Order: sequence, then structure tokens, then C-alpha cells
Amino acid sequence: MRRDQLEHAIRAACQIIGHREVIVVGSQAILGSFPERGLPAAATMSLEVDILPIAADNDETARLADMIEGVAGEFSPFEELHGFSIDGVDLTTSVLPGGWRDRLVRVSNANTAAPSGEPQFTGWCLDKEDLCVAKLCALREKDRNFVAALIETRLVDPELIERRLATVAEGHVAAVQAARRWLIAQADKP
Amino acid sequence: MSDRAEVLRRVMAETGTGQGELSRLSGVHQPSISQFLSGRVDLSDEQLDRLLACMGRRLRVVRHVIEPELTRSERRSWLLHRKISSQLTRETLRVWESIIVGNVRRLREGVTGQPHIRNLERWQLLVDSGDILGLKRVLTGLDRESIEMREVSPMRGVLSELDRLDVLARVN
Repeated sequence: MRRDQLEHAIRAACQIIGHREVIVVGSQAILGSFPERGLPAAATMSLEVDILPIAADNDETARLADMIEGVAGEFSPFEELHGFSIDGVDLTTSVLPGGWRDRLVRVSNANTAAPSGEPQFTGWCLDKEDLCVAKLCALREKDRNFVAALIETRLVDPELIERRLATVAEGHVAAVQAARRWLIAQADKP
Repeated sequence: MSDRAEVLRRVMAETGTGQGELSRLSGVHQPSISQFLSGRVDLSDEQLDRLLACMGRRLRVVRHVIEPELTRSERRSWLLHRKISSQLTRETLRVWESIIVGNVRRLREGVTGQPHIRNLERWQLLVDSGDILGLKRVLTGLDRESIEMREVSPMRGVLSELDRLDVLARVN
């Protein structure tokens, strides 16, 4: 997926739910920090953008996520037309470190604006190390490959990822321990 | 996967068996054991049982029915693909084949990394060989492999918009 497609997804998601801002939480959030040409091919990425609507509670977030899915989700006419889909997700999708909301990376430009130029919508992308924490707490093959490729190309700081892992909420102890073990094994690799 | 690694780690600690010794006993290369323990490589029940036997233990797998923990989007995707599975026959596959093959080609240009690339090849193989049963298994499966196959699904354009919206309305 390309950065301009991410910007398109931000604009479309905001228009669908009638909000000025959304959060990007999946792998594509890395495009908020780096352009696609700067990313290693081994970093697993799909043609789908995970968008988390901003709402007062998770029920409302889920309702808005379903709205996005209906218009631009998997197998939608939107996907047929543009070649990528927008996956509306709720707060239960990702395990994130404390303070992640304060580190979001802003994506807002002419390409995220409505055709008339106003309003100019904003996508808040997960910070790159926070994204790696979320990935490692899931620790599926695609997540491990994504983080490994970013570490290998020095696009993220493994020590910072480890420090952020310590700030994940207590309910995810097992996931954090597994993530930490993986990070240590990664550092030991020749 | 991590549960199995945890079981292996615990038994190694209980029996005082190091990675080198377990490698000599089992014939499994020590780097592989290290990768099992770190979660870098998945460990099957059979592999785990074989390693545990070297330390005087067996693995007992208890069977019970559960409702899997799916994210909202994984559940939506499963429901959509289940609908496609209900329509999949030898005849419909013949009609859909060019759409699916075109989708695989397009996806190959846009996705990167593993397991996505590997899963696209699996889709292609299933379609090329007309493996209806294999396709239905991937379309309806709730194992991790099937869930990940559906993340690069080439079934776009197969389901009518009416059917799609009907499925999405029933997600909750």
C-alpha cells in the first residue's frame, strides 16, 4: 500500500462517519512515519487499512467501525474501485502501551481534504514503536516479520519497544512476556 | 503456539534439561529448539510430544468445543467467506475463476512479506487444482492459517452487494 492510498483511506473513513479525525492502528500506520519506498519489502503489509473511529465508548466505536465496513470494507464497491479496503476496528483490536494517544503521528494534507479543500481531515497514525508493541503483543507470523524487518533496517528502536512493553496494561502479562522473549531472541541473533 | 513453547520451557526447567542435551536426545537441531522456545517457529502437538518424551513426559490434549476469540474484523470476514462457501460449487468456481485469478495477480502487486505472499500462492494452487473441499476449508476455517489466508482473500467481486450487506447486518 502507498502513502497516497493511506491518505485516501483517511479522507474516506472520515467522510463515511462524519468525523474530522480517525486513528490508524494496523501495519499501514507505519506510512505515517515513513513513505512506502523507505520500508523493507519483508515488512508484511496488506491492501487493507485498519481505522479506529474516535468515540466516547467502545459500543459507539464499534457502531462507527461497522459503518466504515459497510461502505468501504472487504469486497465493497469501494474496494472494487480503488483496489484497497478500509477495515473499521474497535478498541479491542490492539494491545497498546500507556500514553500511546500522546504520541500519535498526524497525517493531514491536501490529499486528506474533501474535494472542495474543506474540511481537511486528519488521520492519527500509531507511533512506530507503539505500533511494534501492538504487533509483538499479537505475535503472529506477520507481526514478527513486520517488526523484525523494521528492526533490521534500523527504522525502529528495539530498546524503546522494550521500555514501552513495560507500560502495557496488566491484563496482558502473558502477551508482554512472550513479546519480550521474542525481542531478546531477536537481539541474540547472529 | 506460545502455550506449547511455555509447556516445553516448563518441562525443561523441571527436568533440568538444557537445549544442547534435548537436541542430542531428540535429534532436533539446537537452533530449532531455541526457535520453538522463543516463538519464532511454531511447534506442533506432535513435535512437542516427541520432545517431551525425551524428558520422560507425554502431552495430553484435552478436546472441548469453544467459541474462538475473533476480532470484530476477523468475525466479519469469516461470515462473508462462509457465505461464499455456501455458493461455491464446481460450476460457480468455473464462473469465478477468472475473477479470482485476476484478484490474486493484483494482490501480488500490492502486498508484501510473509505469510501473505505464501498464502496467495496457496489460493492460486487451490483454484488451479479445482480443490473445492480445500477452498471450503479455507473459506470457513477458524484456525489461524485459514484466518490469515482470508486476509489476502482473492474473492472480491464474487459475492453480490446485496448478500454482502445482508451478512454484515448480522455481525452483531
